Amino acid sequence: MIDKRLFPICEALLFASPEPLSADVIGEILRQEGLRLDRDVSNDLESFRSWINDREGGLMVIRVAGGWQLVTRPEAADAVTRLKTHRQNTRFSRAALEVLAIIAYRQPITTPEIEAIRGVDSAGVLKNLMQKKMITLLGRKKFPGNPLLYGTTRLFLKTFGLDSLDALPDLTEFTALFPPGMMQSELPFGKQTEYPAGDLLDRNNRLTDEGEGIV
Amino acid sequence: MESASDLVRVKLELFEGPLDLLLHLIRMQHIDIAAIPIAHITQQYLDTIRLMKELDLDIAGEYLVMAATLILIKSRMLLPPSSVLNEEESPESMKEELIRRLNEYQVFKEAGHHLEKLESDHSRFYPRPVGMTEEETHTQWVIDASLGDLLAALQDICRKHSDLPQHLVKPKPVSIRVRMAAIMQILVSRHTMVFRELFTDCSSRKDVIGTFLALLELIRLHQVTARQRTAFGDIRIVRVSQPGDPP
Repeated sequence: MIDKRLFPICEALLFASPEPLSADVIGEILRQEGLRLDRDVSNDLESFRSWINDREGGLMVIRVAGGWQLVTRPEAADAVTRLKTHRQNTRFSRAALEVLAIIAYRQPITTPEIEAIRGVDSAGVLKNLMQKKMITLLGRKKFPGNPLLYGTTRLFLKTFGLDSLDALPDLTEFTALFPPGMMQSELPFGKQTEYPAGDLLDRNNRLTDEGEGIV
Repeated sequence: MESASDLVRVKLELFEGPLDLLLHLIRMQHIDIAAIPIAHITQQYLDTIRLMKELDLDIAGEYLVMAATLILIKSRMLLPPSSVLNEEESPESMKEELIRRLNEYQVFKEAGHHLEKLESDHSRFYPRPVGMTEEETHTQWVIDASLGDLLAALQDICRKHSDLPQHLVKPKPVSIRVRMAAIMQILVSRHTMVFRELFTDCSSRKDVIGTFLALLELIRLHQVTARQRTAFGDIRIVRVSQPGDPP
């Protein structure tokens, strides 16, 4: 029998915390409150998540960056966006996304290894990602020249809504898009890869929303 | 109206490198990566490079390296098989290596697209914004400030202290040890302080530098850490709890 104080207190904790809370921290506080918990607090938290998410309010509970967080529902996102005076701009360039993907899957990884995969100089992109704190230094590789090793940060997980790196799809899922012998024209994304000029310009914020783009 | 050459320019700038350009050319042909007709693709690749040159676009060296590789494979394919010395230099294995690289790059390109989608999906969840006062939330200063952040903050301080005399007739020695002790004394009573507070009583540029070096030394000795709440945010110095501290 679950203590009826449990869910409201969980809700209050997540509301009061500006950052995702780990199950350990929540569990410790709940025990100090004298609540009886499952041996694995995550089970209680899963029940709590269903309790919140099933009641069709404006908020929901998500798991991100190894913690639990109370957020507004995506259905309300447009409305909440109107409330914001300035839209936060966390858009990433294609180059930045490529480099982030490589680091996320292959970390710890050095600059030469990243550049070998992309076939192009990546120092500027790395510097930018370092400044945005999406990646961090993990030390040096024991290899001639002792190149620096890069890895992703907790902010990366938070920005991309990942609970942990394990939440990334397996790389073979992307490989499957290119099975040997399959004709390119049959690929579902064949059309999109024509790079419509306007679309990509928008992505780089070179044009405003009203801009007509180049057709 | 945009002119045709502008259109081409836009398209060319969209390539992330030689592998991206090659993938694009292969896709335009509607051919399987494994069945690249090297001679044909090489010609198209060189045509594109030539076009980029005519448009005065900067061509990164990597594009030319790829052009050289393609020409090498193509020319080796023209040689009788017996004239090739070892396995690695055979056009087949060079082509295999190129296909391997193209496939690997393609995978991460798709992974990058996936990340973009994740970010855009996740941006529709709004967490409650931070609204507490600074004092209440000092435990939330969770980002480790890097040496670069510290140096940028020091530059700020130096700018503010630029009116201080840079040369003293009789410079008084600045002891880093004394500075370290002074910082620790403040932190023992208050646990945390804002970066610029460190420099309030500095009367010369030398003082500022000495204080900064003392801070770096304390960080090295794990006596204090420098934290930020957000990237580029204010820096706060937090004392590291020591084993003998009262809980």
